[in-house]
Amino acid sequence: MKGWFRQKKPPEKPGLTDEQILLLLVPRVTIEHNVVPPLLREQRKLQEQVKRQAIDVQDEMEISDILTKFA
Amino acid sequence: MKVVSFFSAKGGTCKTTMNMMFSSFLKYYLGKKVLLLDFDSPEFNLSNVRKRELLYAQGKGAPLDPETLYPIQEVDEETARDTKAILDFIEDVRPEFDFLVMDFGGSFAPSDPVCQLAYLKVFDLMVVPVELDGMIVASAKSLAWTLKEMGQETLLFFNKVHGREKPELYEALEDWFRGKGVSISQNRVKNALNVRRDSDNGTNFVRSSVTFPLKDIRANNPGIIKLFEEVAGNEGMVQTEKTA
Repeated sequence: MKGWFRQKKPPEKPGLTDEQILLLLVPRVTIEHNVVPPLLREQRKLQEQVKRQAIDVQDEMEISDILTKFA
Repeated sequence: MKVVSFFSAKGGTCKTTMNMMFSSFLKYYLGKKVLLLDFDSPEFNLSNVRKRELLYAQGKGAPLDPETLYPIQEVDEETARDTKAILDFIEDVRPEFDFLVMDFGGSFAPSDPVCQLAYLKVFDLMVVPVELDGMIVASAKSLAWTLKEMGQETLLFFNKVHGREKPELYEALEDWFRGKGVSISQNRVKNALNVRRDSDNGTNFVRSSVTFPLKDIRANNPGIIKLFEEVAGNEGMVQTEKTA
């Protein structure tokens, strides 16, 4: 993170201390890194639900038992 | 307007055939206003069947009036991925139709339109065909479970029932589904592929059914009529001789 700040640090402006520059930058960092757009959050929730589609081994065994029993 | 889709995450399970036959049933048997959306890009099998049938009728010297048919709308891939556009479209057509039937390809990934629309609870009912195959049974249960978690009402039914299996087998599997919290219809359907074709007055020509009412379907596959009635919410409207 420190490296990022160094990289993005604006050119020296007279009258602003490093601390003041940092304060100006922090809100931008917060917005970019912590706020997930609602649509993206929904998309992740959807992905989680669809992942559960994976076929259950227990299910497979039970189905196999029924198919064998009445074959 | 009721929004329905026969859907399965597996290919070759008669999704398109069932959507086609259900739409024809609604229009030609029940006289409902139906719109069929064809999301199966780029093949668009449903709209191509309609085009072929119109040409066939024209070739026979009896062109059909498109006004007497239900519309089939192709949805190209780009539009299909614009969920907002699809939702707006559905709201636009809502006052015009009794039923909206949607046909999709056999995939249920989060980016697929069917998955997005199910997640947004667009469908009043999704109907999933099941066959007597361990993998298909397990896959249908997983899909139904996922849809249930999304809050999507889902109904399974046994398709491709040829009647040689012990009835206890179907009953045991139906009980198993219900035990897992999955709804399954008591109406079992013979192979839908066998009844989607209709002979042309004794000649060998066969045709599908997006344009013409199916003949003899009640005698050949009464289970399908009962299932369609159940899905349409019109049980008992069409008389059937026996169930499959």
